[in-house]
Amino acid sequence: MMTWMDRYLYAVTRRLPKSMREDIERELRSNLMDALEERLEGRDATEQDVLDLLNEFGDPEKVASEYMPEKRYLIGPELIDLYWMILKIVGIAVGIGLTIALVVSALQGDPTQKGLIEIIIGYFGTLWSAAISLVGTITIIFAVIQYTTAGQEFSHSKAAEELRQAGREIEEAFKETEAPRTGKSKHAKEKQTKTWSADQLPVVPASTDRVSISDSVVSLVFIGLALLVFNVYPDKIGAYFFDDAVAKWVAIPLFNVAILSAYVMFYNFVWVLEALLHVRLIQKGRWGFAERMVKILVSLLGLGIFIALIQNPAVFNTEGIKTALIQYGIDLSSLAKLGILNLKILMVIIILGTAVEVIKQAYYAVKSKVV
Amino acid sequence: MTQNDAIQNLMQELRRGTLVIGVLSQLHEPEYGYSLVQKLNDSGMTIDQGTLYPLLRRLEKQSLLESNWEVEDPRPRRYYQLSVTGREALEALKTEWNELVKTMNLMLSLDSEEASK
Repeated sequence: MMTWMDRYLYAVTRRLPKSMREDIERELRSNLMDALEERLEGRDATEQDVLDLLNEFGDPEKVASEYMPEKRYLIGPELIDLYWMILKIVGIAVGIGLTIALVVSALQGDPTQKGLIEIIIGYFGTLWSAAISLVGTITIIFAVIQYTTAGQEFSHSKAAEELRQAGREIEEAFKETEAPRTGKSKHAKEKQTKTWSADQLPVVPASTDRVSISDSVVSLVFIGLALLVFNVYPDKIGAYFFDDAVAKWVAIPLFNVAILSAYVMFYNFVWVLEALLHVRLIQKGRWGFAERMVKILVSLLGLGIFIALIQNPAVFNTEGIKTALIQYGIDLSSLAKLGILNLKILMVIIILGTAVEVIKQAYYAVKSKVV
Repeated sequence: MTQNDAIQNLMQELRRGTLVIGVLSQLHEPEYGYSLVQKLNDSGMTIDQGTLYPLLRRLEKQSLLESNWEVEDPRPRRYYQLSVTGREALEALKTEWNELVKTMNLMLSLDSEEASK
Protein backbone atom coordinates (compact mmCIF):
# COMPACT_ATOMS: atom_id res chain seq x y z
CA MET A 1 0.00 0.00 0.00
CA MET A 2 2.78 2.36 0.93
CA THR A 3 4.49 1.41 -2.30
CA TRP A 4 2.04 3.70 -4.09
CA MET A 5 3.34 6.58 -2.07
CA ASP A 6 6.94 5.51 -2.76
CA ARG A 7 6.19 5.35 -6.44
CA TYR A 8 4.62 8.76 -6.37
CA LEU A 9 7.52 10.31 -4.49
CA TYR A 10 9.93 8.69 -6.92
CA ALA A 11 7.94 9.97 -9.89
CA VAL A 12 8.21 13.50 -8.52
CA THR A 13 11.79 13.51 -7.32
CA ARG A 14 13.37 11.76 -10.29
CA ARG A 15 12.49 14.86 -12.30
CA LEU A 16 14.37 17.10 -9.87
CA PRO A 17 18.07 17.91 -9.61
CA LYS A 18 19.93 15.39 -7.43
CA SER A 19 20.83 17.96 -4.81
CA MET A 20 17.16 18.68 -4.07
CA ARG A 21 15.77 15.14 -4.16
CA GLU A 22 16.33 13.82 -0.69
CA ASP A 23 15.12 16.90 1.09
CA ILE A 24 12.01 17.28 -1.02
CA GLU A 25 11.14 13.61 -0.71
CA ARG A 26 11.38 13.81 3.07
CA GLU A 27 9.20 16.89 3.24
CA LEU A 28 6.63 15.65 0.74
CA ARG A 29 6.35 12.31 2.52
CA SER A 30 5.77 14.04 5.80
CA ASN A 31 3.08 16.23 4.28
CA LEU A 32 1.42 13.35 2.46
CA MET A 33 1.30 11.34 5.66
CA ASP A 34 -0.32 14.25 7.45
CA ALA A 35 -2.90 14.56 4.72
CA LEU A 36 -3.55 10.83 4.73
CA GLU A 37 -4.02 10.76 8.49
CA GLU A 38 -6.47 13.62 8.23
CA ARG A 39 -8.69 11.84 5.74
CA LEU A 40 -8.62 8.53 7.67
CA GLU A 41 -9.96 10.01 10.91
CA GLY A 42 -8.47 7.24 13.00
CA ARG A 43 -9.17 4.12 10.92
CA ASP A 44 -6.49 2.15 9.07
CA ALA A 45 -5.54 3.22 5.59
CA THR A 46 -6.61 1.16 2.58
CA GLU A 47 -4.96 1.11 -0.80
CA GLN A 48 -7.83 3.17 -2.18
CA ASP A 49 -7.26 5.87 0.44
CA VAL A 50 -3.69 6.31 -0.68
CA LEU A 51 -4.63 6.32 -4.36
CA ASP A 52 -7.34 8.92 -3.75
CA LEU A 53 -4.90 11.08 -1.88
CA LEU A 54 -2.31 10.88 -4.63
CA ASN A 55 -4.89 11.60 -7.31
CA GLU A 56 -5.92 14.66 -5.43
CA PHE A 57 -2.32 15.72 -5.09
CA GLY A 58 -1.95 15.72 -8.85
CA ASP A 59 0.32 14.80 -11.72
CA PRO A 60 3.90 14.20 -10.48
CA GLU A 61 5.27 15.96 -13.52
CA LYS A 62 3.32 19.09 -12.66
CA VAL A 63 4.35 18.93 -9.00
CA ALA A 64 7.99 18.48 -10.01
CA SER A 65 7.82 21.42 -12.38
CA GLU A 66 6.50 23.57 -9.52
CA TYR A 67 9.63 22.67 -7.59
CA MET A 68 11.98 23.57 -10.39
CA PRO A 69 13.52 26.92 -9.66
CA GLU A 70 13.73 27.95 -13.28
CA LYS A 71 12.85 26.56 -16.62
CA ARG A 72 15.65 24.37 -17.85
CA TYR A 73 17.45 25.25 -21.04
CA LEU A 74 20.48 23.91 -22.79
CA ILE A 75 21.03 27.45 -23.95
CA GLY A 76 18.79 29.95 -22.23
CA PRO A 77 16.94 32.88 -23.76
CA GLU A 78 19.58 35.26 -22.43
CA LEU A 79 22.30 33.56 -24.46
CA ILE A 80 20.50 32.28 -27.53
CA ASP A 81 20.87 35.40 -29.70
CA LEU A 82 24.59 35.49 -29.08
CA TYR A 83 24.81 31.77 -29.82
CA TRP A 84 23.18 32.10 -33.22
CA MET A 85 25.27 35.11 -34.11
CA ILE A 86 28.56 33.36 -33.35
CA LEU A 87 27.42 30.20 -35.11
CA LYS A 88 26.61 32.17 -38.25
CA ILE A 89 29.84 34.15 -38.36
CA VAL A 90 32.10 31.18 -37.69
CA GLY A 91 30.10 28.99 -40.06
CA ILE A 92 30.44 31.41 -42.96
CA ALA A 93 34.17 31.82 -42.36
CA VAL A 94 34.84 28.09 -42.23
CA GLY A 95 32.61 27.41 -45.25
CA ILE A 96 34.51 29.90 -47.37
CA GLY A 97 37.83 28.58 -46.10
CA LEU A 98 37.03 24.99 -46.98
CA THR A 99 35.71 25.97 -50.38
CA ILE A 100 38.97 27.72 -51.17
CA ALA A 101 40.87 24.67 -49.94
CA LEU A 102 38.78 22.53 -52.29
CA VAL A 103 39.47 24.74 -55.29
CA VAL A 104 43.18 24.77 -54.48
CA SER A 105 43.48 21.02 -54.17
CA ALA A 106 41.37 20.45 -57.28
CA LEU A 107 43.62 22.75 -59.30
CA GLN A 108 46.72 21.22 -57.86
CA GLY A 109 45.77 17.73 -58.85
CA ASP A 110 45.71 15.30 -56.02
CA PRO A 111 48.82 13.08 -55.79
CA THR A 112 46.64 10.02 -55.29
CA GLN A 113 45.07 10.73 -58.70
CA LYS A 114 41.60 11.08 -57.35
CA GLY A 115 38.99 12.22 -59.79
CA LEU A 116 37.10 15.47 -59.50
CA ILE A 117 34.00 13.70 -58.23
CA GLU A 118 35.93 12.04 -55.45
CA ILE A 119 37.42 15.39 -54.46
CA ILE A 120 33.97 16.96 -54.37
CA ILE A 121 32.58 14.08 -52.31
CA GLY A 122 35.56 14.46 -50.00
CA TYR A 123 34.81 18.17 -49.79
CA PHE A 124 31.26 17.57 -48.60
CA GLY A 125 32.55 15.01 -46.15
CA THR A 126 34.99 17.53 -44.73
CA LEU A 127 32.33 20.23 -44.73
CA TRP A 128 29.96 17.96 -42.85
CA SER A 129 32.46 16.93 -40.19
CA ALA A 130 33.64 20.53 -39.86
CA ALA A 131 30.01 21.64 -39.40
CA ILE A 132 29.38 18.96 -36.78
CA SER A 133 32.48 19.76 -34.76
CA LEU A 134 31.86 23.49 -35.11
CA VAL A 135 28.25 23.37 -33.96
CA GLY A 136 29.17 20.84 -31.28
CA THR A 137 32.03 22.86 -29.84
CA ILE A 138 30.12 26.13 -29.78
CA THR A 139 27.07 24.43 -28.29
CA ILE A 140 29.14 22.78 -25.56
CA ILE A 141 30.79 26.09 -24.67
CA PHE A 142 27.40 27.78 -24.39
CA ALA A 143 25.88 24.90 -22.46
CA VAL A 144 28.77 25.07 -19.98
CA ILE A 145 28.21 28.80 -19.58
CA GLN A 146 24.53 28.10 -19.05
CA TYR A 147 24.95 25.35 -16.48
CA THR A 148 28.02 25.94 -14.36
CA THR A 149 27.84 28.16 -11.35
CA ALA A 150 30.44 30.38 -12.88
CA GLY A 151 28.33 30.39 -15.99
CA GLN A 152 25.23 31.32 -14.02
CA GLU A 153 27.12 34.18 -12.47
CA PHE A 154 28.49 35.10 -15.84
CA SER A 155 25.06 35.11 -17.39
CA HIS A 156 23.91 37.59 -14.76
CA SER A 157 27.05 39.71 -14.95
CA LYS A 158 27.46 43.04 -16.65
CA ALA A 159 29.75 41.61 -19.30
CA ALA A 160 27.13 39.07 -20.28
CA GLU A 161 24.46 41.73 -20.32
CA GLU A 162 26.63 43.71 -22.72
CA LEU A 163 27.10 40.63 -24.88
CA ARG A 164 23.38 39.99 -24.90
CA GLN A 165 22.73 43.58 -25.79
CA ALA A 166 25.21 43.18 -28.62
CA GLY A 167 23.38 40.09 -29.78
CA ARG A 168 20.08 41.94 -29.76
CA GLU A 169 21.55 44.90 -31.59
CA ILE A 170 23.08 42.71 -34.24
CA GLU A 171 19.86 40.84 -34.69
CA GLU A 172 17.97 44.07 -35.07
CA ALA A 173 20.57 45.46 -37.43
CA PHE A 174 20.09 42.38 -39.59
CA LYS A 175 16.35 42.80 -39.35
CA GLU A 176 16.60 46.41 -40.34
CA THR A 177 18.59 45.51 -43.40
CA GLU A 178 16.08 42.83 -44.25
CA ALA A 179 13.04 44.89 -43.44
CA PRO A 180 12.74 46.81 -46.70
CA ARG A 181 12.84 43.56 -48.63
CA THR A 182 10.66 41.29 -46.54
CA GLY A 183 8.71 44.06 -44.89
CA LYS A 184 8.66 42.52 -41.43
CA SER A 185 10.58 42.98 -38.23
CA LYS A 186 7.99 41.63 -35.89
CA HIS A 187 10.04 40.11 -33.08
CA ALA A 188 12.41 43.01 -32.72
CA LYS A 189 10.16 44.98 -30.38
CA GLU A 190 8.73 42.07 -28.42
CA LYS A 191 12.17 41.03 -27.21
CA GLN A 192 12.83 44.28 -25.42
CA THR A 193 11.43 43.24 -22.09
CA LYS A 194 14.50 44.30 -20.08
CA THR A 195 14.13 47.30 -17.84
CA TRP A 196 14.43 50.23 -20.11
CA SER A 197 14.44 53.89 -19.47
CA ALA A 198 14.42 56.69 -21.98
CA ASP A 199 17.30 58.50 -20.29
CA GLN A 200 19.55 55.56 -21.18
CA LEU A 201 19.15 56.19 -24.88
CA PRO A 202 22.59 56.72 -26.41
CA VAL A 203 23.36 59.79 -28.46
CA VAL A 204 22.94 59.37 -32.20
CA PRO A 205 26.51 58.86 -33.44
CA ALA A 206 28.02 61.31 -35.91
CA SER A 207 28.13 59.75 -39.36
CA THR A 208 31.90 59.30 -39.14
CA ASP A 209 31.50 57.45 -35.84
CA ARG A 210 28.89 55.01 -37.10
CA VAL A 211 29.97 51.44 -37.47
CA SER A 212 29.05 49.66 -40.64
CA ILE A 213 28.02 46.27 -39.34
CA SER A 214 28.41 44.63 -42.73
CA ASP A 215 31.99 45.95 -42.98
CA SER A 216 32.82 44.53 -39.59
CA VAL A 217 31.24 41.17 -40.36
CA VAL A 218 33.13 40.99 -43.67
CA SER A 219 36.34 41.88 -41.82
CA LEU A 220 35.65 39.12 -39.30
CA VAL A 221 35.15 36.62 -42.10
CA PHE A 222 38.41 37.60 -43.76
CA ILE A 223 40.30 37.53 -40.48
CA GLY A 224 38.95 34.03 -39.92
CA LEU A 225 40.08 33.07 -43.43
CA ALA A 226 43.54 34.53 -42.90
CA LEU A 227 43.88 32.67 -39.62
CA LEU A 228 42.82 29.45 -41.34
CA VAL A 229 44.96 29.78 -44.46
CA PHE A 230 48.16 31.05 -42.84
CA ASN A 231 48.02 28.63 -39.93
CA VAL A 232 46.67 25.50 -41.56
CA TYR A 233 47.46 25.78 -45.27
CA PRO A 234 50.48 28.12 -45.58
CA ASP A 235 51.98 25.80 -48.19
CA LYS A 236 48.99 26.32 -50.49
CA ILE A 237 49.73 29.99 -50.98
CA GLY A 238 51.61 30.28 -54.23
CA ALA A 239 51.50 30.30 -57.99
CA TYR A 240 49.46 27.71 -59.86
CA PHE A 241 49.87 26.87 -63.50
CA PHE A 242 49.12 24.05 -65.86
CA ASP A 243 52.10 21.98 -66.97
CA ASP A 244 51.40 20.70 -70.49
CA ALA A 245 54.23 18.16 -70.34
CA VAL A 246 52.70 16.15 -67.52
CA ALA A 247 49.16 17.47 -68.06
CA LYS A 248 48.78 18.51 -64.45
CA TRP A 249 48.36 21.60 -62.36
CA VAL A 250 51.62 22.52 -60.67
CA ALA A 251 51.94 24.65 -57.57
CA ILE A 252 54.96 26.69 -56.58
CA PRO A 253 54.61 27.67 -52.94
CA LEU A 254 55.38 31.33 -52.44
CA PHE A 255 56.66 30.99 -48.90
CA ASN A 256 59.21 29.04 -47.00
CA VAL A 257 56.71 27.72 -44.52
CA ALA A 258 59.15 27.08 -41.65
CA ILE A 259 60.39 30.67 -41.64
CA LEU A 260 56.98 32.13 -42.37
CA SER A 261 55.46 30.50 -39.29
CA ALA A 262 57.45 32.80 -36.99
CA TYR A 263 55.84 35.84 -38.63
CA VAL A 264 52.44 34.18 -38.65
CA MET A 265 52.62 33.98 -34.87
CA PHE A 266 52.86 37.76 -34.68
CA TYR A 267 50.18 38.16 -37.32
CA ASN A 268 47.89 35.87 -35.33
CA PHE A 269 48.13 38.27 -32.43
CA VAL A 270 47.27 41.23 -34.66
CA TRP A 271 44.41 39.38 -36.32
CA VAL A 272 42.87 38.24 -33.06
CA LEU A 273 43.17 41.77 -31.70
CA GLU A 274 41.51 43.12 -34.81
CA ALA A 275 38.75 40.50 -34.61
CA LEU A 276 38.08 41.52 -31.01
CA LEU A 277 37.95 45.13 -32.12
CA HIS A 278 35.32 44.30 -34.72
CA VAL A 279 33.25 42.32 -32.25
CA ARG A 280 33.42 45.31 -29.93
CA LEU A 281 32.42 47.66 -32.75
CA ILE A 282 29.45 45.51 -33.72
CA GLN A 283 28.43 45.43 -30.10
CA LYS A 284 28.82 49.15 -29.46
CA GLY A 285 27.66 50.39 -32.84
CA ARG A 286 30.00 53.36 -32.82
CA TRP A 287 33.66 54.24 -32.98
CA GLY A 288 34.95 55.62 -29.71
CA PHE A 289 38.33 56.93 -28.68
CA ALA A 290 39.52 53.55 -27.37
CA GLU A 291 38.42 51.72 -30.52
CA ARG A 292 40.29 54.19 -32.71
CA MET A 293 43.42 53.78 -30.60
CA VAL A 294 43.22 49.99 -30.94
CA LYS A 295 42.73 50.36 -34.69
CA ILE A 296 45.85 52.54 -34.91
CA LEU A 297 47.80 50.01 -32.86
CA VAL A 298 46.63 47.12 -35.03
CA SER A 299 47.50 49.00 -38.24
CA LEU A 300 51.00 49.90 -37.06
CA LEU A 301 51.71 46.41 -35.73
CA GLY A 302 50.51 44.86 -38.98
CA LEU A 303 52.70 47.21 -41.00
CA GLY A 304 55.71 46.52 -38.80
CA ILE A 305 55.40 42.78 -39.24
CA PHE A 306 54.88 43.21 -42.96
CA ILE A 307 58.05 45.29 -43.37
CA ALA A 308 60.06 42.82 -41.29
CA LEU A 309 58.71 39.98 -43.40
CA ILE A 310 59.46 41.66 -46.73
CA GLN A 311 63.03 42.37 -45.69
CA ASN A 312 63.80 38.77 -44.86
CA PRO A 313 64.47 37.00 -48.18
CA ALA A 314 64.50 33.62 -46.42
CA VAL A 315 60.74 33.90 -45.94
CA PHE A 316 60.20 33.29 -49.62
CA ASN A 317 60.59 29.96 -51.28
CA THR A 318 63.42 31.38 -53.41
CA GLU A 319 65.01 28.07 -54.33
CA GLY A 320 61.75 26.43 -55.30
CA ILE A 321 60.71 29.38 -57.40
CA LYS A 322 64.10 29.56 -59.14
CA THR A 323 64.13 25.87 -59.96
CA ALA A 324 60.64 26.02 -61.34
CA LEU A 325 61.40 29.06 -63.43
CA ILE A 326 64.52 27.46 -64.89
CA GLN A 327 62.62 24.28 -65.55
CA TYR A 328 59.98 26.11 -67.53
CA GLY A 329 62.55 28.23 -69.32
CA ILE A 330 61.36 31.58 -68.13
CA ASP A 331 63.90 34.38 -68.28
CA LEU A 332 65.02 34.59 -64.72
CA SER A 333 66.66 37.98 -64.55
CA SER A 334 63.76 39.97 -65.96
CA LEU A 335 61.28 38.15 -63.78
CA ALA A 336 63.36 38.66 -60.65
CA LYS A 337 63.47 42.39 -61.35
CA LEU A 338 59.74 42.40 -61.85
CA GLY A 339 59.25 40.54 -58.58
CA ILE A 340 61.38 42.94 -56.61
CA LEU A 341 59.69 45.91 -58.28
CA ASN A 342 56.29 44.46 -57.44
CA LEU A 343 57.27 43.95 -53.82
CA LYS A 344 58.45 47.53 -53.60
CA ILE A 345 55.25 48.84 -55.11
CA LEU A 346 53.22 46.64 -52.78
CA MET A 347 55.20 47.93 -49.80
CA VAL A 348 54.63 51.57 -50.77
CA ILE A 349 50.90 50.93 -51.23
CA ILE A 350 50.62 49.22 -47.85
CA ILE A 351 52.62 51.91 -46.06
CA LEU A 352 50.53 54.65 -47.67
CA GLY A 353 47.30 52.81 -46.89
CA THR A 354 48.30 52.32 -43.27
CA ALA A 355 49.38 55.95 -42.97
CA VAL A 356 46.01 57.15 -44.30
CA GLU A 357 44.16 54.84 -41.90
CA VAL A 358 46.26 55.91 -38.90
CA ILE A 359 45.92 59.63 -39.67
CA LYS A 360 42.18 59.27 -40.25
CA GLN A 361 41.69 57.42 -36.96
CA ALA A 362 43.90 59.84 -35.04
CA TYR A 363 42.04 62.82 -36.51
CA TYR A 364 38.61 61.49 -35.51
CA ALA A 365 39.93 60.36 -32.12
CA VAL A 366 41.23 63.85 -31.34
CA LYS A 367 38.03 65.38 -32.69
CA SER A 368 35.87 63.16 -30.46
CA LYS A 369 37.89 64.30 -27.43
CA VAL A 370 37.66 67.99 -28.34
CA VAL A 371 33.92 68.09 -29.02
CA MET B 1 -9.92 26.19 -25.85
CA THR B 2 -13.57 26.84 -25.19
CA GLN B 3 -14.89 30.15 -23.92
CA ASN B 4 -15.45 28.58 -20.53
CA ASP B 5 -11.87 27.32 -20.27
CA ALA B 6 -10.60 30.76 -21.11
CA ILE B 7 -12.66 32.28 -18.30
CA GLN B 8 -11.46 29.58 -15.91
CA ASN B 9 -7.87 30.36 -16.88
CA LEU B 10 -8.32 34.06 -16.24
CA MET B 11 -9.77 33.39 -12.81
CA GLN B 12 -6.96 31.01 -11.97
CA GLU B 13 -4.39 33.57 -12.99
CA LEU B 14 -6.07 36.17 -10.83
CA ARG B 15 -6.05 33.85 -7.81
CA ARG B 16 -2.47 32.82 -8.41
CA GLY B 17 -1.38 36.39 -7.99
CA THR B 18 -2.78 36.47 -4.47
CA LEU B 19 -1.11 33.25 -3.31
CA VAL B 20 2.11 34.75 -2.00
CA ILE B 21 0.48 37.47 0.05
CA GLY B 22 -2.02 34.96 1.42
CA VAL B 23 0.66 32.48 2.43
CA LEU B 24 2.95 35.09 3.96
CA SER B 25 0.08 36.53 6.01
CA GLN B 26 -0.46 33.15 7.72
CA LEU B 27 3.15 32.54 8.72
CA HIS B 28 3.75 34.90 11.63
CA GLU B 29 3.72 31.69 13.70
CA PRO B 30 5.56 28.57 12.50
CA GLU B 31 3.43 26.16 10.45
CA TYR B 32 4.24 22.90 8.68
CA GLY B 33 3.00 22.13 5.21
CA TYR B 34 -0.24 20.38 5.95
CA SER B 35 -1.23 22.60 8.85
CA LEU B 36 -0.82 25.61 6.59
CA VAL B 37 -3.05 24.03 3.94
CA GLN B 38 -5.78 23.66 6.55
CA LYS B 39 -5.28 27.15 7.87
CA LEU B 40 -5.59 28.58 4.37
CA ASN B 41 -8.60 26.40 3.62
CA ASP B 42 -10.31 27.52 6.83
CA SER B 43 -9.77 31.12 5.78
CA GLY B 44 -11.38 30.37 2.42
CA MET B 45 -8.25 30.25 0.25
CA THR B 46 -8.13 26.96 -1.63
CA ILE B 47 -4.71 25.94 -2.83
CA ASP B 48 -3.39 22.65 -4.22
CA GLN B 49 -0.84 21.03 -1.95
CA GLY B 50 1.25 20.37 -5.01
CA THR B 51 1.38 24.12 -5.53
CA LEU B 52 1.81 25.21 -1.94
CA TYR B 53 4.80 23.10 -0.94
CA PRO B 54 7.01 24.15 -3.83
CA LEU B 55 5.91 27.74 -3.21
CA LEU B 56 7.09 27.53 0.39
CA ARG B 57 10.51 26.39 -0.75
CA ARG B 58 10.75 29.17 -3.29
CA LEU B 59 9.84 31.76 -0.68
CA GLU B 60 12.48 30.31 1.59
CA LYS B 61 15.04 30.51 -1.18
CA GLN B 62 14.14 34.17 -1.58
CA SER B 63 14.82 34.59 2.16
CA LEU B 64 11.22 35.56 2.88
CA LEU B 65 10.70 32.45 5.02
CA GLU B 66 12.84 30.46 7.41
CA SER B 67 12.40 26.75 8.01
CA ASN B 68 13.60 24.02 10.29
CA TRP B 69 12.87 20.39 10.88
CA GLU B 70 11.20 19.52 14.17
CA VAL B 71 11.49 15.93 15.29
CA GLU B 72 8.13 15.17 16.83
CA ASP B 73 5.51 12.48 17.04
CA PRO B 74 4.26 10.91 14.82
CA ARG B 75 6.79 12.15 12.25
CA PRO B 76 9.37 14.88 11.70
CA ARG B 77 7.95 18.03 10.13
CA ARG B 78 9.40 21.05 8.49
CA TYR B 79 8.14 24.28 9.99
CA TYR B 80 8.10 27.54 8.06
CA GLN B 81 7.94 31.03 9.50
CA LEU B 82 8.32 34.62 8.25
CA SER B 83 11.85 35.96 8.30
CA VAL B 84 12.62 39.62 8.99
CA THR B 85 12.76 40.24 5.25
CA GLY B 86 9.52 38.33 4.89
CA ARG B 87 7.79 40.58 7.40
CA GLU B 88 8.94 43.67 5.52
CA ALA B 89 7.82 42.13 2.24
CA LEU B 90 4.42 41.34 3.72
CA GLU B 91 3.97 44.94 4.90
CA ALA B 92 4.85 46.25 1.43
CA LEU B 93 2.50 43.74 -0.21
CA LYS B 94 -0.32 44.71 2.16
CA THR B 95 0.00 48.38 1.28
CA GLU B 96 0.03 47.52 -2.41
CA TRP B 97 -2.96 45.23 -2.00
CA ASN B 98 -5.02 47.86 -0.22
CA GLU B 99 -4.28 50.36 -2.98
CA LEU B 100 -5.26 47.80 -5.59
CA VAL B 101 -8.52 47.00 -3.83
CA LYS B 102 -9.37 50.71 -3.63
CA THR B 103 -8.64 51.26 -7.31
CA MET B 104 -10.41 48.13 -8.45
CA ASN B 105 -13.48 48.80 -6.32
CA LEU B 106 -13.74 52.26 -7.73
CA MET B 107 -13.36 51.04 -11.29
CA LEU B 108 -15.76 48.17 -10.85
CA SER B 109 -18.44 50.30 -9.17
CA LEU B 110 -18.21 52.77 -12.06
CA ASP B 111 -18.56 49.81 -14.36
CA SER B 112 -21.71 48.60 -12.62
CA GLU B 113 -23.18 52.09 -12.93
CA GLU B 114 -22.40 52.06 -16.62
CA ALA B 115 -23.93 48.63 -16.98
CA SER B 116 -27.12 49.54 -15.16
CA LYS B 117 -27.73 52.55 -17.40
